[in-house]
Amino acid sequence: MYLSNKLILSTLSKKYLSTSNDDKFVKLFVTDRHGETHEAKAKIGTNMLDVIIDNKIDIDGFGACEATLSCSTCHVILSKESYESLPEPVDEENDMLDLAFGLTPTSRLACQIIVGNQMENWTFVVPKDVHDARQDI
Amino acid sequence: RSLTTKPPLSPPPTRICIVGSGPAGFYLTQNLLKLLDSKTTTIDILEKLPVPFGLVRYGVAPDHPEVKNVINTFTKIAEHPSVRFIGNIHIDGVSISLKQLQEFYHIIILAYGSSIEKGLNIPGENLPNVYSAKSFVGWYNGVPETSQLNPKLDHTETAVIIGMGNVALDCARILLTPIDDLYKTDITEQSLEILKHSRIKHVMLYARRGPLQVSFTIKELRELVQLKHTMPKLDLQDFSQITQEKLDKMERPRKRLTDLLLKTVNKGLIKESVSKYWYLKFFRAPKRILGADHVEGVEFDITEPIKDSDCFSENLQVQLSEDKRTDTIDCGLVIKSVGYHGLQIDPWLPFDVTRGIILNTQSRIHDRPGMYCVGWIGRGARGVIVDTTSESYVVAKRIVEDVKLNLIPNLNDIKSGGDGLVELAHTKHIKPIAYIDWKLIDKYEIQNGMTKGKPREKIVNVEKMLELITASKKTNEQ
Ligand SMILES: Cc1cc2nc3c(=O)[nH]c(=O)nc-3n(C[C@H](O)[C@H](O)[C@H](O)COP(=O)(O)OP(=O)(O)OC[C@H]3O[C@@H](n4cnc5c(N)ncnc54)[C@H](O)[C@@H]3O)c2cc1C
Ligand code: FES
Repeated sequence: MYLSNKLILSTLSKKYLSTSNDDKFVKLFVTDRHGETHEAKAKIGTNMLDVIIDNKIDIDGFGACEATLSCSTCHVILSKESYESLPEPVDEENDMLDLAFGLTPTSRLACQIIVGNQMENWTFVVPKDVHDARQDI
Repeated sequence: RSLTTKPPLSPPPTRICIVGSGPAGFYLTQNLLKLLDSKTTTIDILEKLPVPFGLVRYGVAPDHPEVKNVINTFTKIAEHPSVRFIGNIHIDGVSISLKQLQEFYHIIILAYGSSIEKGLNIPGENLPNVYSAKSFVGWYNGVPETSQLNPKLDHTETAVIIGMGNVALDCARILLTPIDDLYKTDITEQSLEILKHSRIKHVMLYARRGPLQVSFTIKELRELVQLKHTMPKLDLQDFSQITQEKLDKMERPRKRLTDLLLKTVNKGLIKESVSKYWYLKFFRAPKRILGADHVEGVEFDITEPIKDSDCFSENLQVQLSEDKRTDTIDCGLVIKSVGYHGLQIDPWLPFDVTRGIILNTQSRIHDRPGMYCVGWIGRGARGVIVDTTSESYVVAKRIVEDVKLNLIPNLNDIKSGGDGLVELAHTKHIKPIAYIDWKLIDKYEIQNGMTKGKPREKIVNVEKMLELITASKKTNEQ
């Protein structure tokens, strides 16, 4: 299967791929919808959507609006400590999160999280699809 | 003689077709491609118009270009070797029926959206300058059917919009946005010309129920609140029952939305050079549209929550006020935005007429094994694109499960897929459109827009689209 979001989006993230020598990376983890955890090399200063794409972690429907804060498909859940250590999301991010499935108090949009030094060994959880329950008509 | 047939080594290709090329059709295709072996599966996306993308092209407001970014993903899907887009093919039970589709395809998925606008059923509804939001949106977005609507906007200062969902807010925003900002969008040229001469200063939105039952989302509200040179006019009285304590008990989305409404009422937001105003009017049900040969006003019945009901409930019911009061407003334009409804495209299709959706259980169409539905036509016309994204994922999984469980009839029959369908179309003088044909239209529209500093200038009628394709094919042949 050669078609997936990461492929589609990789063109977008090219602009971040300038590989100057002083690029710094941290190691972190992403748990996908099926509960599988992937290790990812995250470049400091990029956003978490790009990290997921660049590390070829394939998550269905992730990042539909291409980081323009007009969908909520890049929803990830953080631990309480991690969440609290980040700057508060802006109103517009919270507005989109309001529409996300399985919203939690420590939910964020991946495309709005900028990777920093402190994120070494953090885990970002992509929530399971909760659509099934609502589908029963 | 040439070498004769070898015995087939593997089962024949599974032929799948999806009717409708909106988000539901495309996301379902994407998920099916992931779950099925693309070497033995073909997926055709059928579309009644020559152009793809459904409401992403024809619903999403022109000043929301970010939302249309999903088109990049859809384009990759359409260009996948196992996928074929066939446009300008209307599955309507007359020219081409679902039963005919079954001759060509093993699996048929209906993703054709909700295309009828609900009416109000009140007197005066058909007066000139009274429009459904569907037509109004279609006008500024260049939907072939309604691109020539040409509403009159230069004779009145007041527009009434009936309904308080996102579509109502879209219409309000288009009427209120400074024209210079619209020039940079893909709104059609004809609409710009009319909006340029608009004299509308007051846009009044009406709802039968209260501020806790509005169905727009916070992003759209915030946009309106922040819109340049406009001022919201809300009535403090309408919010008197909403205390902090009540707010704290609400679920987060409703709470944040109500909070923003409250802030908007209280602060009134001082902006420089205000020239236009918008209003939210609650507890008013349209009774009659007034006017002799064009709309001159709307008369509303004042409503109230039925006795002992909880005005905080999403399902609040209202009745006419005890003293049967009414409220009349003078206006020169009315937009009815009270929701969309699905159409039964073929008499053979099991359909729930009251809800306007295909009869289905978990996306499986009743009594039609091998047939499924996804998106607005299966679920009802509610929700944003993201809802469709995650729904498609679930529906694709169900279809694949059914394939594995052998629940799809005749899966081992050899079917001709798109080739057969296109052949049939030709016998009926229908000209199917391929994805490369759409690319020609796309390129033309983008180039045409570029000369005007717009992302795109849409071609607004089908004949012109088809002419363009024929013309460029001829040039290529020469
Ligand atoms: C005015 C408006 C604005 C919106 N703005 C936003 C927004 O900003 N953000 C957001 O997330 N969501 C928005 N939405 C919601 C979003 O458009 C829907 O959630 C989504 O489009 C539903 O997808 P769908 O594929 O079910 O239907 P559609 O997008 O309607 O697609 C159905 C397709 O089927 C085709 N079709 C219909 N009948 C037939 C037939 N008989 N044969 C063949 N083809 C047929 C249609 O031409 C169409 O292309 C908006 C909706 C509207 C109405
Ligand atoms: S990708 Fe759409 S909000 Fe992050």
